[in-house]
Amino acid sequence: MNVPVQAVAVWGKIAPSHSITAIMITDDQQTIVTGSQEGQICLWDLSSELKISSKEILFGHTASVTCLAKAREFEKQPYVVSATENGEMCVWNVASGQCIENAKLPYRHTAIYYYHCSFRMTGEGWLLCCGEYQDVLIIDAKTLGVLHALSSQSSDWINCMCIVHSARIQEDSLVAVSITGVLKVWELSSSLTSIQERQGVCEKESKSLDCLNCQAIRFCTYTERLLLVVSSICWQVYDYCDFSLLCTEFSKSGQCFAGGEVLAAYRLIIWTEDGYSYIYQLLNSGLSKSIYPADGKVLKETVYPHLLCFTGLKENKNFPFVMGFLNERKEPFYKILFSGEASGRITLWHVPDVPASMFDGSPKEIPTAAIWSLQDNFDKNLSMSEGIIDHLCASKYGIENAVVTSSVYIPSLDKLVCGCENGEIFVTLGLKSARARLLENVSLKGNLSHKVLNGHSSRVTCLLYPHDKSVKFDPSWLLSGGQDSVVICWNIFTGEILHQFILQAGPVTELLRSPENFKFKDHSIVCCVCNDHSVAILHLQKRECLLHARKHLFPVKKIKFDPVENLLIVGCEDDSVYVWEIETGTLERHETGEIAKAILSSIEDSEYLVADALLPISQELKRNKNPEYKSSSSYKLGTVSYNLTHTEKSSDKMMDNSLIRQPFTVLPVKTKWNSANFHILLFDLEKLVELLLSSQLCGLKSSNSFHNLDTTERAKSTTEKRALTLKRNKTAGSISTVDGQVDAVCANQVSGDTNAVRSLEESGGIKRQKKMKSSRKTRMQSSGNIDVDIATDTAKLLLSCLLPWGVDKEIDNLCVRHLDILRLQCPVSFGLVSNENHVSLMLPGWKCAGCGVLEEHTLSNLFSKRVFDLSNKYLAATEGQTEKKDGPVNNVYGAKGSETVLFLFNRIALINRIINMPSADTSEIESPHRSESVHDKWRNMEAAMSSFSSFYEELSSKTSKRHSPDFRRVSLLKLICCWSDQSIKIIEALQAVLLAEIQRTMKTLRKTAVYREPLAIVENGNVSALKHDKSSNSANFQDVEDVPDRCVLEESESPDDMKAHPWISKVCSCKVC
Amino acid sequence: MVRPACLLIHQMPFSLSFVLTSSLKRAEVLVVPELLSAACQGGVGGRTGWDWQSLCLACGDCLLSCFVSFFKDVNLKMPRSNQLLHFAFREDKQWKLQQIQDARNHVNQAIYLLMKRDVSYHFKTGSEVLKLMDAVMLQLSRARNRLTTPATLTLPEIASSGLTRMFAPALPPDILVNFYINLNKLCLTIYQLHVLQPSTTKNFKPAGGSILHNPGAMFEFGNQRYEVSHVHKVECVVPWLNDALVFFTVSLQLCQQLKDKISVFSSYWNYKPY
Repeated sequence: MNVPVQAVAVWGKIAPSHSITAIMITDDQQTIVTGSQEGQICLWDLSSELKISSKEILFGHTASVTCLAKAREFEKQPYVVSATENGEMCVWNVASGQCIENAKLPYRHTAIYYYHCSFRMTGEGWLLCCGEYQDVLIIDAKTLGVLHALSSQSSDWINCMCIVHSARIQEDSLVAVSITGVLKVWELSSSLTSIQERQGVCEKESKSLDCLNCQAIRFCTYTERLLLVVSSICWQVYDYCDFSLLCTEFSKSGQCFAGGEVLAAYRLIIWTEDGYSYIYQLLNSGLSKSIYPADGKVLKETVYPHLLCFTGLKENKNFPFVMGFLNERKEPFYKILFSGEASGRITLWHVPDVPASMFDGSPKEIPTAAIWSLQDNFDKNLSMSEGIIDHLCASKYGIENAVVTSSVYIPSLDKLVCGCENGEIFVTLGLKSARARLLENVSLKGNLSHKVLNGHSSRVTCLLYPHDKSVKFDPSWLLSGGQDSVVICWNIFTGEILHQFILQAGPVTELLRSPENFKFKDHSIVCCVCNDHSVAILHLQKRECLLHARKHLFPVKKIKFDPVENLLIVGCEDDSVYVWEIETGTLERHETGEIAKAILSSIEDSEYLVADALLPISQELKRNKNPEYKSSSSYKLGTVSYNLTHTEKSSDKMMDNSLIRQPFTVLPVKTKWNSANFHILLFDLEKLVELLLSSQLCGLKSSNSFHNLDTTERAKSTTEKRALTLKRNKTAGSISTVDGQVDAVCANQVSGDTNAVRSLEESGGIKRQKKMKSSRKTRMQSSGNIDVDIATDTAKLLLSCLLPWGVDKEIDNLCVRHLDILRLQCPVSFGLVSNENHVSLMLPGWKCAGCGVLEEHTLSNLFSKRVFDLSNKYLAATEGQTEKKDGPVNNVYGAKGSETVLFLFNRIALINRIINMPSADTSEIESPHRSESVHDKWRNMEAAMSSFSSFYEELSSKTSKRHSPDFRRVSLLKLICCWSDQSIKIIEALQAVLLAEIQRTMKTLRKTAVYREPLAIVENGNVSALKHDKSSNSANFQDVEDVPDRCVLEESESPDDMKAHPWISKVCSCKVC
Repeated sequence: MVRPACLLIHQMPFSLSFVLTSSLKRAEVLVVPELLSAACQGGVGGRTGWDWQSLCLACGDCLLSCFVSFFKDVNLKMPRSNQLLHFAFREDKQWKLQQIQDARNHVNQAIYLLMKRDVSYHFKTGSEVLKLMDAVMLQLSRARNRLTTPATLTLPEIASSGLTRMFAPALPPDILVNFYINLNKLCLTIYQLHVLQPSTTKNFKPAGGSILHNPGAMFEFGNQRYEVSHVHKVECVVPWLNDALVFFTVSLQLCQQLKDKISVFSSYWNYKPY
């Protein structure tokens, strides 16, 4: 099952670099897909007026993309397959950005063609691949497994190929040219069965064409006779019937042809590697008849080319281009020549249907139709491409922003550390800076507490917080490496420099902590990789550089430690291995080849490094997920041991509490080539719901009586005190008893509270069943109370991100005023985590792409026009529930907005879960036994839900009192399954549901508003005061230095809202009147 | 912009491609028989290229000796009939050693990348050169890896490869041969098989992919189950392979040095890639 994580990207001013290596336009002419050297795939929206706008960026590949191709019949499923340098293959849904399938094979493909023969083929079709292996591989388009290979007499690499559909001979064949210039023809449709039965399939024809470095081969479907072969120095036209040469045209000096396409009968377009293209008309020369009339051979008519038009670019001629041509006979009947550059720029030309030369016969230049790059989108949507700490810099330097060059997020402290271009390091709080960045509230920005560490003279290249993963390190240590070859050890709490290591070895490229099992004289060490391929080992306690290994000729790829013999093993990119003795600093061994491999593989479990990871996102995600989704016992053990060893610092006494996984994390992402970094905010829906529910129970209590709240606080503080004394006494293992106490306290409270007693006992019981053994969970529960504030803030932030602002002013109004959800500053870029390590992120241009509206000044967070449609459908599907929900909604309104927030949140979590159900079930639904499978699935889901958490049951029983799970739920489920079949994005669905629910709430509000308005206001005020009280208390409890600005924040919020939107009251009063 | 490194960069592709083409000339010898004769020429006295000791192997009661003649044939002495079988490579067919073919193609790609630009071409940015060097190094390291790491094949793959049909009197069905290159050595492995009867009590477990299979490995091919009874391996040093490997290493180091030099400058420019 997928992990329901919502991701929000916070880009910087500088777009991630995207050197295009492959480009294609989808069959519907609405999306341009580009693959890059960095490994990312970018989706661009192409409007019918040929306007380009970047839509989404897909992460997942770790190496340069070599080719792209469609992977299904595009009308049915908008899937595209990508292949990379290192053999990874991935099938993407370009409509939703989801990764459908991925595989890693030991083959490097340079071209892929989709082949499907609908009437004689089972399955989803084949991908015919060629590349750096012999002949042609047939790969299953669905599973990405190798089905078979086409073989030939003299096997060699295939450079290029094309599928020939000829209506005349009723046969599909594959025409390919090998690297040595041998043309080979395989029959496809007649050898379908033998391929399926894995019999050897040999080529039908083969002929040496005598052209090296063939770049493209195309069949003319108009005449069904001509074959265009483009090699780097010339292009040739052959007769398909007997493969006789009809004409040859050589390139001008210095130009290399890169590809070509047949425009129409006897009309060709040829393009070069440097971005030029030429359109030729083939004219019949008829000369051959007169020259060789008496020759015994068959009479041959030859053709000669006439240059009609050309295209070119004025500037930047030096980048390699990849070009393609789309000759689509569909609306809007455009013939588009497109090119992508290594600089990341896309250029389009609209090729006229009837290209003609100038009157004097000289070739005419076709003007460019559109030029666009990622950076253009970032510049256009400045507010959307603001970095996460840009506002901090802005307040300091005015408009000039420092570019973040490296950053690290410390989940245990919720601290975000950003190193900048100018050498400054900003330390802020993660959630708060995210709120300040995304939400429209000036007070949030001004009051964001942050520290600036000054120490580096030039760009900060890497940061490391060693305590994060290994408790052997002091929690106050923060390490930063700079371009000035200096590594500084900071005290993160005070901001002072503890030590400077001056390495004199070029920019520091990587900082790594030593593995858990390795200790050098009972101390942990930090490894530092420099740009001159040297590795320095730093001892932080002794503050000295133990070893500086400088002999490596190639970039360092792997670092391993031998804990037994105190050896440092460095693997380089050329597969050689250097073994260093740490104590003496001598080079023990230098090995290459097999021995090197053996040495590297002999030490398996210790930490390693991949120095050239293009984008650490996959690793980061994995790393983030492991502690987050698997309650590892080592984590807790680590905490205890930490308590035992370090007791001196008072500022970090909260460590053990905050070590518990957060529902919110910031993931810094480094991009290759350019130094700019961006951040991804990850919201764990499940965890948030869990936390919110506990908070809600708390909230209920608190609203009922102040006494209970006090006891909660008191209980917390006693726990805390106990924990402190525990630390002081250096006794381990007694935490569980403390927890037990907390539990008991909680239980006591609960028994006093008649309203919530049953539900809590239920949940508590289930919890105890599930988490019987791990006391950590109970601790989590207690900490849930502490994190109330953070949890609600996080939930509200996510809801603000999801809400369709700017669609309906009333809705906006309701959200801001009653639910206390703040407005967005600008539309946000959502992400989709599809597989373990496949992420798609919306780019700043998505707004224009999705909705087609280009109103710059109005804030609109609508994901697509479909959302309205979907929300109506949703309303219809859940119609029956409305009546019954009136009651609770009223209550919600009466009590406070936070319950509605919780309700909304639960809804989206539920929808998220349903959508993330295994796709096997969804495919089942397509089968005739529809209703049955739906029920099956529902049962599945029920099971999953009850196993995962019982909150939903509880929640639904609470909000819609007497729900009958059968009918409406099934209809809802059906609807949502239907959505996922239609490849509707998760966020679209979420937004639609949110919109529907808010509309419903609003309806009931309107009904009751007349009577209850004054009361509501009073209650609102009451609640906010309460909340303020509580939050400041908990804030006090959580982080001492945090209190002042939080108070200010809370206080300033409510009046500010009123001031900022005077029209709210207007609209409101109108409604009342 | 790249003034200091300019001269070096512009000379680089040519010196590099010179190194590569010279290594490539030797790699033209693709066909195994020629490879064999090339091996002989390298050996002392023309005929000691093969490791004779491994040629004559005592294996229990039956003695099989395998001679690889220097003149394009393979001689096998069969234990049962005790007669010397003589196999020659067919003249009409060409079987190319895939490892060398791949390595040559990779080198060709590298040369193409380097020679694509005119002599007069001037690189504008450092990262342009870095990217070119990355692409070239990728091809070179792949070429080297092809020679240093022989493919791990399963026995059915060996049985179905074109090599089995490459001999003039066809190989008997119970013999499999495989050629591969390991570093600078050309290796020939000969597997002697015996058919497993369907009634046999032996547990059939097909062997996975391996460079060299051990006796006892089992496989299924053409609805027939086989077990390897004897394995013979012969290897000989091919001198030009050694040269090629050295060439690859040298050119990789050249590329890396150029990259290092450029990146030193780039850190001072505070450069943008484009």
